[in-house]
Amino acid sequence: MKVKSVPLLVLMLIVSWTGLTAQTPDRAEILDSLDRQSSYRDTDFSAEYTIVSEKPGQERSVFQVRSFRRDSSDSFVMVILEPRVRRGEGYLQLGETAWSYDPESREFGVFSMKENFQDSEARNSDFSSLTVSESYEITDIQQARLGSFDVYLLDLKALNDRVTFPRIRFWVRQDNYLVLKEEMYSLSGRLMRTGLITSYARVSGRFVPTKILYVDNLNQGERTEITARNISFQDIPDSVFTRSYLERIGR
Amino acid sequence: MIEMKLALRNLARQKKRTILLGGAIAFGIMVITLVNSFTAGAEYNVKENFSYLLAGHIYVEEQIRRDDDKVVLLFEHPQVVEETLAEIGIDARSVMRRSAYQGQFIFSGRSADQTVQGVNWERENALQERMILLEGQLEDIISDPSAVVLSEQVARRLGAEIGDELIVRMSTVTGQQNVGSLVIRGIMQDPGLLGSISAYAHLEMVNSHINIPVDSYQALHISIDRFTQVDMLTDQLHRALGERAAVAPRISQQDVAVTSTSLVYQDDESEPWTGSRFSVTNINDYLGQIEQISSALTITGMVILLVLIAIIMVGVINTFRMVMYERVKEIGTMRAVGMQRKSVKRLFLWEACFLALFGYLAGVVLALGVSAVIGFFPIPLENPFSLFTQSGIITFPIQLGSLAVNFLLITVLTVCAAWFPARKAARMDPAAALRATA
Repeated sequence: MKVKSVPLLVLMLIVSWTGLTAQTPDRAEILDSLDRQSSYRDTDFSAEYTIVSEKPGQERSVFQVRSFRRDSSDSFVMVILEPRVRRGEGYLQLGETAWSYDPESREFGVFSMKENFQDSEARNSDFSSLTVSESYEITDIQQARLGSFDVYLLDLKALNDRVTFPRIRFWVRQDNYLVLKEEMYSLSGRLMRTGLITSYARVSGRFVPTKILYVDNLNQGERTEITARNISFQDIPDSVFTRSYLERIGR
Repeated sequence: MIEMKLALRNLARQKKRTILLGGAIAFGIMVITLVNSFTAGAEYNVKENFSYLLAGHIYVEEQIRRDDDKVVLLFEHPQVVEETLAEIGIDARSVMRRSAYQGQFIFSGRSADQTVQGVNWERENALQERMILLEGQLEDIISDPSAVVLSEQVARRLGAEIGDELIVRMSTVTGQQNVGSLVIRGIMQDPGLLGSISAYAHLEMVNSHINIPVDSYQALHISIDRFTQVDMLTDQLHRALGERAAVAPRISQQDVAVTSTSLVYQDDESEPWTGSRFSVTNINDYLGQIEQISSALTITGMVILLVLIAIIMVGVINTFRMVMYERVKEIGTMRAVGMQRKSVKRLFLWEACFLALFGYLAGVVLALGVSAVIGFFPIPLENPFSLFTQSGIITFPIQLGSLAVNFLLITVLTVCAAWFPARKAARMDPAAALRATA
């Protein structure tokens, strides 16, 4: 009995090990996929976003913005379309430098991608590109289930102390690595924000998130929903990524 | 002496005219006195509010440029500054170590943005003296490392009480998001607009929140006894520090916006630098624009006074011309009974002088009354104007120098305005004056 059970145990171990290795995804591949999802290095990108924020005891705020991205040169422009009173306000990022533009005073100000967009739960950086692999490393991968999807639960740790969130958790689909959920943690390890990507659209062969819900885990009841439409990967004129463009459309 | 008595009698004789003319002078004096006092009070209050907010008058920081070009504020070489301060004779007891961050307090679904000042409670005597604790005990604050003191206004906004634990969200010195918790151990009386935007916590706790060594600090705040010495001592400290270590160039007052109340590093350098360096600033660097506003207000007040005086002087000239024609017979009689030309002239000038004096005194009394009444209407501390007030009260300190200048100005000008009618009255021929029908 004893002699028979040893090879069986070895066989079981081998089977379970090969099964595990078959199911454990390549970390570099996942990071590469995450980069491709959030950064379009080979093409320009533009989209219109509707940002609806809810805070307890406050009126719902609705913003509509148009965003232009050229990730290959870290260029980013965002212009407010609605509400009417804020129309023409814009943001421009060229590499490390970023400006905001106020059409009323016709002045440029300092702008940080780390700031929240108009007091919502969305950050300015949520509308620009993010190269995950440059800033984070995967420290843990687990298989899990999110709703009806089989997912990998990724634990990411910041590689430097400059990134906004020192720790992030992603729930990515096992079949195509699309991010379905993300959690952002503070340096002290406290959950600060949860993002739920509830809808994707396939545009020019790429998956683009079209509905994202951000929930503030510190301020109960504060949430922001972002809806994307008019998504385009067509070339954008160079003149868009200039300060004079913001001045021109702010008139 | 007789001329003075006659002048007073003449003023009393024409009460309505005296009151109207004196009232015009009083109004002008009231306006300029109020403007002068308000300007002086506002300037003083702004400086006081800022010195409370910034804890002291001279500020030293160490800026460290990291390999990734990011600049952080952190004292890595405190001994250099300590030796320099000792060298120029600044008492170590007047030096406070501080760290700070812009945080968001969250409690029970409510939030409030605050500057959280990290203080060393044992060393912060001035803060202890000025802070009026409405609830909580200083001993509890000192003994609890996670203690925080909030202003009454902020505690009310959060709906929090003593003993409640608050979540606080902030960024570290390198821009990472962090979350901590602090326990309310003290609620202080609102110390004005600027004061109420600050909460106070232990230095070590603040350091851990912004992710710098707990025994470190971000800035040295130096309090000095005489405000007038601020610039001189700042320059002296800047020079002395420059002999021992790299220092940032002194910023000119025009380069600092009045809104930049926080001592946060802003990279606008024309000359690149590496490693670490010290920056020395003072309260006047942040209040340069306030002084400009104050000067503009004073000049505006003077212009208003001159316009009012010009109008009043026209009135005085016309009135005294009228008085001269009304009193032609009286002048003739006085001259006939032996009064000299000089005496007639002096009579008119004394009248003008007394008119100016009464108008001036009435103006000052009116100004005191108006300022007292204004004092009954406090400005809400949320109102940005409360920056110019003392805990919401507009103050009108008496400016003896301005009062003296205004008195001399109004008296001399009134006397000058009466000069020509007085001279004409003095030159009148007594016989012709007695014959006159007017």
